[in-house]
Amino acid sequence: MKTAQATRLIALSVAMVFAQGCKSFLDKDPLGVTTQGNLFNDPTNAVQAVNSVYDVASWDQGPKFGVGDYVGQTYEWMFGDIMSDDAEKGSTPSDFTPLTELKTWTMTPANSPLSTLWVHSFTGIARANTVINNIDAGSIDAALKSRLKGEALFLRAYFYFNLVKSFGGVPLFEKAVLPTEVASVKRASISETYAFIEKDLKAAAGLLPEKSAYAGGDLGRATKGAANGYLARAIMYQLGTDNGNKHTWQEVYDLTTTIIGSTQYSLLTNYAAIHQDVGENSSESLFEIQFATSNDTYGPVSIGTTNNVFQNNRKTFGYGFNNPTQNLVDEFEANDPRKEVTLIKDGDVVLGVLNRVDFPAENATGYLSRKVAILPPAAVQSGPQNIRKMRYADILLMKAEAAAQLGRSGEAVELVNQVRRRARVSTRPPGTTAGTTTYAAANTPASALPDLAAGLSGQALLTAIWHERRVEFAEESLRFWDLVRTGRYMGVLPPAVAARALSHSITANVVNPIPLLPIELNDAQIWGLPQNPGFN
Amino acid sequence: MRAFLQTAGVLLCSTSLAFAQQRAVQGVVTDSKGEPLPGATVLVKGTTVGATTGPDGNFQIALPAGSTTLVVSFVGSKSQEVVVGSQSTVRVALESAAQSLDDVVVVGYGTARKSDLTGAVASVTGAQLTQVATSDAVQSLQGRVAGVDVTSNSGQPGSGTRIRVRGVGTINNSDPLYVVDGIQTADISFLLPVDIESTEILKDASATAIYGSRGANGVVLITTKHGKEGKVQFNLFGYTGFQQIRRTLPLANAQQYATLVTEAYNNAGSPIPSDYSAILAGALQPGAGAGTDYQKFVTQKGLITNYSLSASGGNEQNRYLVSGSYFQQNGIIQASGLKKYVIRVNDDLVLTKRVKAGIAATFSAADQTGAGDGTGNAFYSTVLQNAIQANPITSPYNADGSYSYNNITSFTPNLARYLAEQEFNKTTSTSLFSNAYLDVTLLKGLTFRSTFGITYANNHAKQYQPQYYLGPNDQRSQSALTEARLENVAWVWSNYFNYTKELSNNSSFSATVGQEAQRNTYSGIGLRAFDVPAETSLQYLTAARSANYSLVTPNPYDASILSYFGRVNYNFRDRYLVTATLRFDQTSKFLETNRTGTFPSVGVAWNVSNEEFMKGITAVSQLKVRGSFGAVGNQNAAPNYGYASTATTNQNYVFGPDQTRAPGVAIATLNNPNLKWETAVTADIGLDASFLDNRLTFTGDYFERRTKDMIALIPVPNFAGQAAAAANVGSLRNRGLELALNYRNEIGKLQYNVGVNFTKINNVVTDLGGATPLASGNVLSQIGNTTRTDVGREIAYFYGLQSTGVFHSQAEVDGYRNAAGAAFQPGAQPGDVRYQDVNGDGKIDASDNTYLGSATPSFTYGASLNLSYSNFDFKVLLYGVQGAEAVNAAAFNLSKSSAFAGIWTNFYADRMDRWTPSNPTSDQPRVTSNDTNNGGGYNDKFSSRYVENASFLRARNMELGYSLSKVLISKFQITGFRVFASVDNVFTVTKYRGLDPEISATGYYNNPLAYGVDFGNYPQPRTYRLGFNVQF
Repeated sequence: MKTAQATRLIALSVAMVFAQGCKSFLDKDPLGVTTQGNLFNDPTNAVQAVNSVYDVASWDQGPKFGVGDYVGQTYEWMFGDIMSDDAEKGSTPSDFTPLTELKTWTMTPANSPLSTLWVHSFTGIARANTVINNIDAGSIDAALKSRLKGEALFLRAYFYFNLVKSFGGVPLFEKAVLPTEVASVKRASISETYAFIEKDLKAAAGLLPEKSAYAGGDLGRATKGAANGYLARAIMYQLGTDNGNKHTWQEVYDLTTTIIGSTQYSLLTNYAAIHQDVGENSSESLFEIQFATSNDTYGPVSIGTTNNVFQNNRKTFGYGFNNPTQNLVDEFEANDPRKEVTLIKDGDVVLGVLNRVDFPAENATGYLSRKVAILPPAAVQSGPQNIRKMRYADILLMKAEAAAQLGRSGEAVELVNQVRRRARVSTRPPGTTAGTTTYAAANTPASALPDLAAGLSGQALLTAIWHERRVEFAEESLRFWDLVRTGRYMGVLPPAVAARALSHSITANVVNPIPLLPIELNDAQIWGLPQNPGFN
Repeated sequence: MRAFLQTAGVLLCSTSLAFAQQRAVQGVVTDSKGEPLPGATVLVKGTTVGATTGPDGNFQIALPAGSTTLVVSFVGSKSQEVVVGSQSTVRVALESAAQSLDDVVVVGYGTARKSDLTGAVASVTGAQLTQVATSDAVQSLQGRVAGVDVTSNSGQPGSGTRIRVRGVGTINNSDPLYVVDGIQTADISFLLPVDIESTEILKDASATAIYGSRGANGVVLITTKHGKEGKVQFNLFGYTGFQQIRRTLPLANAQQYATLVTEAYNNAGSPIPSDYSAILAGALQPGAGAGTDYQKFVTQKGLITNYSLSASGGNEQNRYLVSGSYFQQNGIIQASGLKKYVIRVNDDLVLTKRVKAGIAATFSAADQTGAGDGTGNAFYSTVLQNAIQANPITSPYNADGSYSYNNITSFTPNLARYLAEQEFNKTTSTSLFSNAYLDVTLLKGLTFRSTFGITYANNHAKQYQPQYYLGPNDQRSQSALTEARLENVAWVWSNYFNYTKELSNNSSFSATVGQEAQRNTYSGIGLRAFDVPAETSLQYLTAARSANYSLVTPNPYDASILSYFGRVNYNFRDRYLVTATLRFDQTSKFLETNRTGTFPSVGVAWNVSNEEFMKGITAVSQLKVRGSFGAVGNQNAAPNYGYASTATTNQNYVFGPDQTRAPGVAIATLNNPNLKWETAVTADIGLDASFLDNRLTFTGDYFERRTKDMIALIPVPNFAGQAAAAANVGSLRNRGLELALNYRNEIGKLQYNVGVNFTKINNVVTDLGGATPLASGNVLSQIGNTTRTDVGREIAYFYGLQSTGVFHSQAEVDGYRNAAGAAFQPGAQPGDVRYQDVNGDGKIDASDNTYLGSATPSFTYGASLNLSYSNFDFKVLLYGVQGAEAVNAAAFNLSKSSAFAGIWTNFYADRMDRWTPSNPTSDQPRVTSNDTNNGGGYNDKFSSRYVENASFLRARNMELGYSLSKVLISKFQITGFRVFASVDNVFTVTKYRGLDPEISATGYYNNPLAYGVDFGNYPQPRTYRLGFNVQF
């Protein structure tokens, strides 16, 4: 090769490369990923953006924000049941002591179920905000747009409600919080937080379709009924705790009346089937967290849940947490079929399998919850069982409580009796004979669970409603907040625990003392959010 | 025969033979001491006529008419040109190839005489690099060069190395740029130390600014071995030996463990949990034994071997090298190891008088076994950490030989089973690094060079996780197989002109101007399948029995840089030197408005020793003063697509009665469209001097580097709900002093060479853009954050409570009251940890967190000693770090007072000296299952108790070699034969109580803000080797 030729060749190839332009060489779009800019111009993308908000609601554990460090397990029963008189921690005495801390009110801001609840809730809020703030500019169909926005608003309220119940007032974000803004973030008051939640739920109720308007494949999405139901629940909680927003029982009454009048819901005939596969997304379901079988081992990528495994018998394949107390067992009236549906005791046959309950070595009370009993899934981390978050029975009993508070005791009694009548005709739980999963007849005597007397009223009526709530929703994670909002929480705790709980409570200018859990360690210490009373 | 071959060679290569006359020249080649050198190459300059010296160093050569000069070369010596003139016998004494200021060193896009440099450049020769037993070319730089801090990511085979040129320059990626034979690359794991001819490290802006946006963290220029003129030269190098753990931690045995746990419950007045009591009681029975030493259980003596064979040679037209290497290392932890194969070829051609070309290729394949050592994995998955945490009572095996279930520390897996599983964790990586160049001389002094380099790398990771059930907390309900194929293709194409003009009076002018394009693409596919049979032949995706699988495919990327650069040098009478460089870089990593970075620099130097007034001062051989100033960028800090708000997939949910998977995408990470260049402005003043006929050399530099617009992932509060975005967050300043001193001399037959280097760097964060101090280093959820990065301090300093010992008595507890008379630490009992009320608010809480030291050392130093006496040689290499602290996060569990989440992991054995009423003077806190200190939980808060002195002095290597007499071996046609015995990490002087004071900064999720937080590294092994080196 001659020198001149070589030079010419190189010059030519350099020229050719740069003829196509430097800009195209340097302008790159991210590969293989959707960007925020095109999330809401495509209906599939837009739906998927909303799906990712639901996903957060289903997380048991997993990477922080879905992309970061591991965070520990959290389930609503860790607060709703274990922190109440309905359940002990369970498992072996030394297993998962953060739950013991919750049970005994010795938790610290590093308590892992609390930290995870905090992180997950705000992750869900951030994702909901992505939808709420960007969907209006998108080019997708207007009807889909309004439904999706309604779903996101409902979910933002759902996450904030979980936060305010546990931690009190929290920072309120209507859009993504920028790094430059974090230093000035403040905690809102409890009533401000509730007002924020109500605003979202009302907007969601206006945008969302009724349950029956969804296509079958969309069953499980937020509905108008769910939004109204959560609004009623949020108002009811405020009525018994911090009612700075000046709510009345009439509002609870009206909302529940609207839901009942929508004719979207009815009680499932057989109480024993509610927590079984056939009970998922049934006529009784206002909202539940959806799961499916997968092979995932852990983390939010999972579409399955460890919820059932955690509460299952260690002698079969589970971890044995959340053991019903004798106090709860004694609450059931004689021959109430719900008692057997709720409990497992040593020697019971559950879903056709003989269960030995190893009390006290691996169990704290001698009982386990039968509502979460399952056969071993393929991977223990990925059970497909949905978690019921709001049932129609709750709407009936909320309305009954509102009616009782408003002096309409006759109406209240009838609503409670609807629930009792259904319970009375329940079968035994499935699989009480070894090797079967069939529903055996309960042979409940006619005298069991008699109707409430028509003339019942006043405190006696309220007590009867609260009793009904306790047994109807036993081990469904509602007890702790029911106790708090009715002012009975401190009374059911051992005195030393009650003293500690009270030291972490807001007692001034509230209806009943509001015990608050410590907010997440990092955000309190590093980012300067004020910690709740008595924690450091 | 030889004469015939020579004649044949001449016949083939010369067309003018018939007219040539030739005459015979005889000679002898010796070393500087006069010892004959057999096997030295003698060539007639400008021809292919050559000869090799015989056993007595003699040679005979036919000198063609018109030729007057011989070129004499020998491995390990400097080549020498000898003008024969009319003589018929010559005597040539070759100097050994020790460095001097006249050496030519590689600089960016060219070479320069060391004496002409205006920048700070340090060189390390290949022979120095092979002194330490490692497969890692970077690791072998440790302790060699002032201002270059090299730390292994871990002692695990193949885990890579962290290198910092002049300190941590940014809170983001601080890796330097590597340039191998002119090709920029981010990774040099394809090279073995034995393949490297020389390494230059460019430290200041005058030297690095030609690399613009990639120069901020320094540039490591690597020249690989190439063929040299002369007859074929074979080089066989090999060693074999073994490695073992330097030390294991002194931990409690079964009885001590049971004593402490039992006492903890007794102290709290609570019953021992029923699932523990029998196990603890059993261990306390007389004659129950010491239990299992899990550290011993998981460690081993690991074999290490390396063999390398190369052949090289050539003539003026064609020079070649072919080499093959095999490296094998079994880790000091069972089920970890590395095998590496490297094949290299290169060929340099003179095509015409004006055109030169060359090609080179390096293929490397590596098989790595084992994971979970802490390099990027979480704390709780490391084999060694699990071994340290496991309770010593439970044997890994049941009486029937099956794996046992550890009921007390059930979250540490059964180690026998866990080790067996590590064998199924394999990574195979292969890479092909190839390049070609064309060099054209256009006019006298003007050359054009085009270099194209392309690297293909792929990585096959395969991990099989068997199904098993030992107990509720140690089980896997379904087997899984994860396999991934990752591919990376990167190319760099550089085109540049070099112009050199020699002026009168030893003055000269040179200029370089060029253009460069780079592209780096990455993609891959990964799958995780389930219910895969355990049989080895069925551990494949195709054998999966579950219909479901998950994608674990990484995000692909495509990044480009387009650059223009130039440099001018002016040398006035060999006294005054000026270098100016300018580079423009445009990157695809930023949006168009922030895309272009401009990086100028200027350097000046004064060769004082060349001044007339120095001529008489013979003691000073060389004296040069240098100064430089410039700006360089750190593109490494910028993530791909950091400006874009991208969605994370696989955020799935389920809808409908059929429980159909509904895919979800989320904006899980914040974005920042304003992302722009991170820039480092560097100033440097240096002095190079040599004395006593170059026997004593000295280099000193004082520098300041200001990094501004530092790109980093800013920690975000959890209430943000999204992961952090990369942003230009602030500024950092490094000021430092580097000194290097070398002395070589001989006493009779004893030759010696002593080198010391010293580096002091002062690192200060000068601005965080008003952001909250960055908290990080939360390697253990129990302790939370351990570091803080704030204005006015060094990066990632340790931040926690100041402990002032323990309360020795009730009187001390009662006496610890604030001004208002209230207890500082309510609930504290004798034996509990006492803390200082730093902020003086009368109580102890997180607002009392204070500065507790940092991993930034006061200074680092290295020293080397080379001795040679007759045929023996002896080398020592020392490396030290002074004034550094470390967070011993492993000790956090080992020194605990209470259980974490109900789990009583093992203890340091010295916890037996804990405070008890009968041992009231102890400074070790009591054990208790109910820590009531300061409202509860304060015995085990992160505090100064866990910040330890991590200074160390390490004998990195000692080696004794013996070279066979050249006279003797030449009878066997061998030109060199050396055997050696070598020990790495001979001793380490440190007070640090963890496994190894040399702590990786990149281990924990690659987080630079976890700098110095020891979460239980795979420690540096001690290595014993025997080896040889033969040339023939």
